[in-house]
Order: sequence, then structure tokens, then C-alpha cells
Amino acid sequence: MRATGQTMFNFTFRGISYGAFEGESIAAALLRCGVVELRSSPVGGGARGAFCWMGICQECLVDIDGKRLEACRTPAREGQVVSVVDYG
Amino acid sequence: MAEDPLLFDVVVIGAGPAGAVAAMEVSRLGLKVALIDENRAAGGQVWRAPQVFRDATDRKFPRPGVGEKLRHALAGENVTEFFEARVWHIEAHDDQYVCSLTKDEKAQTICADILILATGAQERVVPISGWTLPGVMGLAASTALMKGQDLLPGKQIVLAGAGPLLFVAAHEIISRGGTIAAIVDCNRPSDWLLWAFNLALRPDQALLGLGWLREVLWHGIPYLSGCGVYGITGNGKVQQVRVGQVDRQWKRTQKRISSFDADAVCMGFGLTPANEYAQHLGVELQFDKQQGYWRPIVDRFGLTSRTNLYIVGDAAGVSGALAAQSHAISACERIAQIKGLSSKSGAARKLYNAAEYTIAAQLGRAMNALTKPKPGLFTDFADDDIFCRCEDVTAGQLDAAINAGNHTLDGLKSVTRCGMGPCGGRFCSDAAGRMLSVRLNKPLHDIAPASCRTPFRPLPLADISKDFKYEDLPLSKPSPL
Repeated sequence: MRATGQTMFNFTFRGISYGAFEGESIAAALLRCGVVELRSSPVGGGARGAFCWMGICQECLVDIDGKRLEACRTPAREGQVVSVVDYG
Repeated sequence: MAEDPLLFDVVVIGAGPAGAVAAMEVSRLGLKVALIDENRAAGGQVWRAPQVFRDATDRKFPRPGVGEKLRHALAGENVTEFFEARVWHIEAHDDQYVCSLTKDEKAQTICADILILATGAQERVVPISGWTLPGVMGLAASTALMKGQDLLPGKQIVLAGAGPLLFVAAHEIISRGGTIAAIVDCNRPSDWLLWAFNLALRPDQALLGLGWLREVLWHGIPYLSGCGVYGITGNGKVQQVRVGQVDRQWKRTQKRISSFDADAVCMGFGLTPANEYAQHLGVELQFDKQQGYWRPIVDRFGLTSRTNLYIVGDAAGVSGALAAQSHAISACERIAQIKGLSSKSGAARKLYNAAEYTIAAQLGRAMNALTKPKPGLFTDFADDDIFCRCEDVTAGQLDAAINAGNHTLDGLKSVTRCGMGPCGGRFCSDAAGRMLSVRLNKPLHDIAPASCRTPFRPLPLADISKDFKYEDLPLSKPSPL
């Protein structure tokens, strides 16, 4: 349950590689790297990012292997490929 | 399809201060208890377990605090824990509470005779022009980010809204060496004085609060009292925040206007009970005028009008972590009394103390009452300001729907989709109710809360359906035309 230390590894978001600490959520790792826009609103198209940081608002949804997951709750994993949710 | 249901005497939903204490107490009664929480560890939002310890060598983190003590105590008890699990449906069936949850992408059903809801509180936010920009987050959200991930919300942070969370967030930022561009507080010093009396009952809490205030002043952070955010702008993210004075009803006066460069805005108006489970189970709600929210009707033991259904802690009315634990203990004493059981740990156990609970609850309630959004916040919307984030419903669309005769939250929801998106209305429904109240000049207690629907949280259908072949699905013949 608990992650410690400063072990870093890489994952990708929108094809760009970012570093993450063990235990860090995808949204937190991206925020630390200056990336706050995680998707576009499916209705109006505006930029959206993590808002509630506790898995309620669904604003930080990202696509991992075809699954829509909350980036604020999902721990980053080594080699993980994270994409923007495609609303078609 | 779910696996076979697991049977327990008691199921506790939520592992914050109230839920974790309740689970430990009932386990000491010799009852078989399940504790379910969405997070990776117990502690709730207030004592959120750190997930990342960056620079662990030269920082004070992890500080062994009350959260660590709680998690340590919980580990020593006979409680079956379901962490990172989400309850998406509950029903009462044959004198049992049947909880459907998903964990590790699988469905699980848990049945128990007694259900204790300790779902805590959720953040109350009020829409403002530009609040959908990345970099804007809730105040409680920012503390969750800092406590859980040891990460600052931004490099230049504006804190806005009302109530003690402004200073809690400020303290968290300052202690991590962050920069606060401004604290924008709708309340004035005279408003804060109203609860000074309550603080006097708890000198330890008063000192803590004064310490935070001193910290803010010491660091020369601009503290704008009686002011609110007028709008947030930026290209794809927060860049500028326009603030100005608000009157006693928190309506903009167009005076003392200034602008701050910022990359993060943390805004919030206190907390409201997370009562969707209670509402779904048919527990009657009442409007709490002092706090400005609907809460379930419970007695002092947390017992609801439904048999064997208890609601403890902030979920029964936001009173804070101290009161939440006392409340949980009192509920468990009631359960022990009804079942004729006595606690195994006997004297070691801290007994429910009515006086302590009253003081803690009064303080918690007084502090949260400072955050109740006032009507002036709902009079200055531009037509294209986004009100419901999920569905991009604008303030103008809401106004048009109200003018067309939709005078209930459910009516507004079905006409505009305000509150129908994936957040389940948790970030617009309270505000939409206030909008209705202001536009119709009706008191808030005459605006019924929107009805609650399951699933309580969005979930992938694959998590609750077994692997199947389409040809194996039993389909009835289409009826003749």
C-alpha cells in the first residue's frame, strides 16, 4: 500500500515520456512535469484536468489500454502508455 | 457476474476517522466486520495516507501523525479490509444490506445485517467563470494532493472561497515551501469573530488556527478578506485570476479589483455530507439551515429510521474528525447494547464521552458554517459561464430552463442535463439548488435535492459482467410487428 523512496521510472502520455516516482499517481506525475491538461470536454471541447483529486469528478480520465481510468487515483507504472480519452 | 456473496455481521463503508474507529469497535465486540474504502489505506481525506515520500531524507515527511496511529491500530484488529474498492450499489434485501462493489476490476457482493455508513463529506464548490481550466481545483482537493502525493498544486497559487480550509491549504503549501499569490476570502474578520466563542471551548484548536494565521501574515501573503474571485482566464490552463470585493451577500461590488498571475487556483466553500448512499436507501433527509445542506436524520447514536442502518461522522453532518470518532464509538455502544455484547478490550477502550463529542461537534459545525455560500455568488454569471462541468451546461441554459418553468433540481436535470454527467451532480447540484433558490426567491429548504441514481460511481461494464460469448446470450424472439 505504501510507496517509498525516490525510485523513478518512465511512462508515456500522448507519446511523450515522463518520469514518475514510485507511488505517484499519473495526474500527480504529470502535474510535477508541468502537464495539467489531460483531456478535452466531450461536449464543449474545452481543456480539462484534475479537479477533485479524490476520484469523484471524473475530469482527469485518461485512456490506458482502452480503459478509462482516473489519473488522480491510478498509480503510474513503468512503461505504461497513457493516452487521451477519445470520445469519438 | 459477481462471485459468491461474502457474509458479515457488519459492513462499514468509508475508512476515515469515523469508519475506521467504527470497524475496530465492532470487531472488539466479536462481530465479523468488513471495512470498504475507495482509497489505498485508511484515514479518509483528513488523515489521507501519504503515497509518495519524496526527498524523505531532508524533510519531515512522513510525520507520524494521527493517521499513522489509526492505520497502525486498524492493522492490529480483526477487520476484513476492502481497500481500493468501490461500492456502486446498495440495497436492503431480506433484513440484509447487500453491497455491490468492484475491486481489482472484479465484482464482489458483501452482505451484512448491520450497515454503518461513514462516507464522510464532499467538497462544496461554486461555479465561476473559467473554473473548468486545468489548474483549477477544490481546496480540499489541494490538501488531498499535498497529503497523498506530497506535491504542490502549482508554482503560484491563489486560494479562494471561504472557511478554515483556506488556512489549512495555506499551511500545507507553506510547509512545502510553495508560493501563495493570494488568499481570497469571502468572509470578513467580523464573520470569523462569530465563531471565536466556539474556538474558546477548544484552546488547542484555537492555537492551531492562530498559528496558521500567523504563518500567513509572517510570509507576507496577500490576504484579501471580503473579496471573491471574479473570473479565471488562461490559454488551456490557469494564467490569470481576477479578484475583487464582495458585499455582505458575497455579490461583486466591482471595487478593489486586482489581478494575479497564477498557475493554480484552489477554491471551495466547505464540505457537505456525502449522503448518496443514505438517500438511495430511503433515509429521510432534512435541511440544516445553519450549515446550508441536506443531511440524513439520525439520532445521537447515528441510527437512522431504517433498521440496523447507522450513519456516523461527517456523513451525518459535517462536524470534523474529532467528533466523527466519538460519534462512531457511540454507534458501536448502541450496537453492543442492542445485541447484548460487551467489548473484549474492556477498560482499554475509550468510552464515548458525550461532553467531548458536543464540544468537538459544535466547533466543527461552527467552522463549517462559515463556508455556506451566500446568494450574491449566484447573481453575476455571464450566460456562457459553464455551470455543470460534466455536461458543459452554461448558466444561461440554466436560467432559460428556470424561466421556462423548470423549478426543481430533477426538472433542471432532465431538461438541461445539469447534474447528469459522470460526477453524478456532486459538483453542480448544490450550486444549481442555490441558483434556483435565488432566481425563484424561495428558501433553500424548499428546493428538494436531486434524486440519487446508481451506479454511485461510473464503472466499466466489463468489471461487473463475466466473460461471455454473444451467441450464448439468451435472446427472446422479436415480437411480430
